Amino acid sequence: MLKRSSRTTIRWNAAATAWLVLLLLAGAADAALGAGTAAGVLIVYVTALPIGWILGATVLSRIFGGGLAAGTSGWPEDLHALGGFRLRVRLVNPHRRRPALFLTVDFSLGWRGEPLVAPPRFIGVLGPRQEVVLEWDVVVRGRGAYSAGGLRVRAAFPGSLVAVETCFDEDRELVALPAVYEIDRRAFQLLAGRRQAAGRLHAHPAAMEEFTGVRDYRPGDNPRLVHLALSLRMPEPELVIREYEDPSEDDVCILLDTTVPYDAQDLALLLYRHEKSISFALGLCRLFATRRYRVRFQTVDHHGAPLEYDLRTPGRTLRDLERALVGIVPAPDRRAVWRLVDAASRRTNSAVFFVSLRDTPEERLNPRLSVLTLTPRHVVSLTRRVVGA
Amino acid sequence: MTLDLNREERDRARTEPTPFPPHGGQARFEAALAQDRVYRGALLAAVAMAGAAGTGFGSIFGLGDRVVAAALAVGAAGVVVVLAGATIAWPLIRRARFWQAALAVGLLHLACVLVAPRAVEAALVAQLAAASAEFALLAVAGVRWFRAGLLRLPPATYLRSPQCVVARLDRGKDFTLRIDAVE
Repeated sequence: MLKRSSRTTIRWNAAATAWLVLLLLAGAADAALGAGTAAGVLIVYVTALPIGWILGATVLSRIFGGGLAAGTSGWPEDLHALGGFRLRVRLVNPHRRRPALFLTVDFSLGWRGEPLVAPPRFIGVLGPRQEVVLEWDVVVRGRGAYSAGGLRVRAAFPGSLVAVETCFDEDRELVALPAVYEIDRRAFQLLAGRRQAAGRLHAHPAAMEEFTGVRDYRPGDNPRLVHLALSLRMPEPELVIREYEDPSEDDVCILLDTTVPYDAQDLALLLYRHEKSISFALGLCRLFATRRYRVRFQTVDHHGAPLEYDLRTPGRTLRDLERALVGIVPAPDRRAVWRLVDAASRRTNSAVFFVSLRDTPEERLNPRLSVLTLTPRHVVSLTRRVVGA
Repeated sequence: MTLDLNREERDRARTEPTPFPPHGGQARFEAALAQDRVYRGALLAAVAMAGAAGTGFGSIFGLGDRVVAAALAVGAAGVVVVLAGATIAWPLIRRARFWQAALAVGLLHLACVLVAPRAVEAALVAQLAAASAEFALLAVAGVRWFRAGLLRLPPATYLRSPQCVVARLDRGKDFTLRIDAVE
């Protein structure tokens, strides 16, 4: 969709201004010292020629520089890190008779407050009622939010004192989800014997059920589940029953280690592994979820608070999980993730995979039957392909 | 569970920064101008004309005989052009410094004002015509210089933040964002 410019500004060209001042000073000095002589006439003439060029170029830039319309397309709806897209800019000169001359077109895209200006494209002449389509390939390699800074069209005839800058603001934010890792089918071998090894640790299976909420009674519900107190409080006479869920129904529980102490000696390496482990854990979730395993994902955020996502509805919640992991940053406190591992190993009888950032398998240090630690070596060997890399 | 890594996987697990492709815009620009005969010819012609005008078209030698004066003027102009080109203009032309070359042309032309002001009076119209021709030649060269200057525009731009770490398997540090212009 085309739109008119958001604002037009005039930028001074410092080099042309310096040349103009120099020439004017030379001409003025000559007029003062050698007025009436042939040499004076020659110097005035020699200085007047470039002065005329500069002034003419300035007038041309001012006249043939503005009034354009532009539109962008190609912004992706779904963007993952290490992927990209092709941005198309349609620039139109709506004037009936006036061409646009010496245009330079670029746009900016920012990441964490750092803007990046795209390589500019030059258009010598854009005739009346003509349009041109410019394209850029954008490769996004870091996850996170990117802000589009808008389109900028700069018109400046060579030697002009000013450049007419037309901006088309683009109020848009792109979110690069974590990179897509395609996990090798060998990952299913990790499940072998895991669930059976864990066993059911609780003496009373009913005690494992967790209260999740209430809902309206539906025919066929167990009458024991009716919440009497809440049913009596309802404005209309209707029954409300309690809902429970059994965590032990999970098949796979994936725990992501996000702890990176800021004073670690191998901080850069851990941060790199942190990025990979996010994509790897998401790849595992995607792999198991597409095979209709019941997958639960758990990790801790920067403050050590647990984050938990149940992926029983893969089409929707996997995207939610990806969006939640866009902004996750390492947590400095390692105890939080250990609490998570302990709780997961006690609570479920599913296969628990702990995606660790350390080379040493944690299960050797603190053995848990149901927990399998996946080290960075596993990340490399189990990843078949990184999409876009 | 133990998974042994093969050599390829170990290589992929290394953390190496991604080398950035060199820009090379200035080299492309200078190479384009070095191959541009119109640009070089226009600048050299402007230098030659400025050199001839700078000698007052030979009149500064003050010789009475017109034939000898003309021959000397041509010879002197040639010498001046060679000297000027070798010492001033040619390195600037080779280095694609248009503005400095244009300034050299102007100064060369105005040399006669300092050396022999009377020579200017004798051929003022010719001096003005020579100045106009030099300006036209410089304009032609300037247009070529501007067009070649577009080669200095980068074909791609990168954003590399200090903590740019991306989830590649084989590289630990990388640029966050890259934008390529599609020709």
